[in-house]
Amino acid sequence: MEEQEPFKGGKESQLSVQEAARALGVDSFTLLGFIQRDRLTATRSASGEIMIPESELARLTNSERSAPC
Amino acid sequence: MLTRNGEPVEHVVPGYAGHLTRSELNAYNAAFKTIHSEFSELEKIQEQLDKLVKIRWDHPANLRQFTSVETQDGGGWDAYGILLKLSKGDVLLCRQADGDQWAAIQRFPADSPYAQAHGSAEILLTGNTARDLTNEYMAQAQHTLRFMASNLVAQAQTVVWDQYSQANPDRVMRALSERCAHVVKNTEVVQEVESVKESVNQAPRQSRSIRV
Repeated sequence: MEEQEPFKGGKESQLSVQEAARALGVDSFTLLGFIQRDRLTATRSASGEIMIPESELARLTNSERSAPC
Repeated sequence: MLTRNGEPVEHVVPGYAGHLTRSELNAYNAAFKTIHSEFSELEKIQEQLDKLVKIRWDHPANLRQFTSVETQDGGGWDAYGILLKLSKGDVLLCRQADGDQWAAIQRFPADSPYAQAHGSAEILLTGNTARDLTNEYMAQAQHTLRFMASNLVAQAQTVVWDQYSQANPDRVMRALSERCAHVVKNTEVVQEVESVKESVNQAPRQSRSIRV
C-alpha cells in the first residue's frame, strides 16, 4: 500500500466506508473498489480505518462525469 | 486449567487456534458485533468468487445470453453470465452487441445517487476473451475483498482499544483479524493489523491519504 501526501482538508467531515456507501447508494465492496481504482480519495484514521472526506462524495455525485474505465 | 490475569483461558472463537478469557471474549464479541453485517457480506462475496473460479467461461454451455445492458456512453452489451451478486447491484460478464470485445459491467440501483450521476451500468474491465476477462476480474475482486477484510479489522480495533484496553487487546485483535483473514484466505490481513497497531502506538489521532 502506497501512502500519499496527508489530506489537507482541515476539519472536513469524514465518513466511514459504510456511511459513504450508503450515501452513494452502493455497497461497501463497490465503494472500496472505487478507492482502489482511484475514483475516490480516502484517508486512514489512526486505527487504520478507511475514511472518506465528504467533499469526495460531492465530487463523485455532482461534478465528475468522466468515463470510469 | 490455564489462567490469564486470574481468569480461566477457556473460550473458543471461530478461526482462532488459541483460547480467550471471559474479559477477552467480551471485548471480542463487542467488537465483532460492530462488523457483523459487513463480515457476512465478506463471506457471501468470497463464496461467490470460490464458485466463479470453477466455471469454464470458454465453454459454450456456460455462455448463454440472458439480458442486454446499455452503458452511459450508449454502448450496447449482451450479458452472458453473472460474475458477482452484490447487496446493491451486480457485475455481469458481457459481450459487445456489435463487436467481439468482452467486459465486466457493474449494474447499480437506478435510483442511487451514484447511478444518477454516472448511469446505472459501468464498465469495470474489458478484454478479448471471456476467460481472460473473468480471471482478471476475479483477481481484482479478491484484492478488494482483502481490502474490505483489513478495513473490518481496523473498525473492530477501534472498539477494542477504545472500550476494552484492559482486556488484553493484542490477543483479542489477533483472534478477530485471523477470523477475517480466514474468510479471504490470506495472511495479509493479519500482517496489516500488526502494522496498523504499530502506527497507533507511534502516531496518535491523525489521518493520512492512501492508495491501495
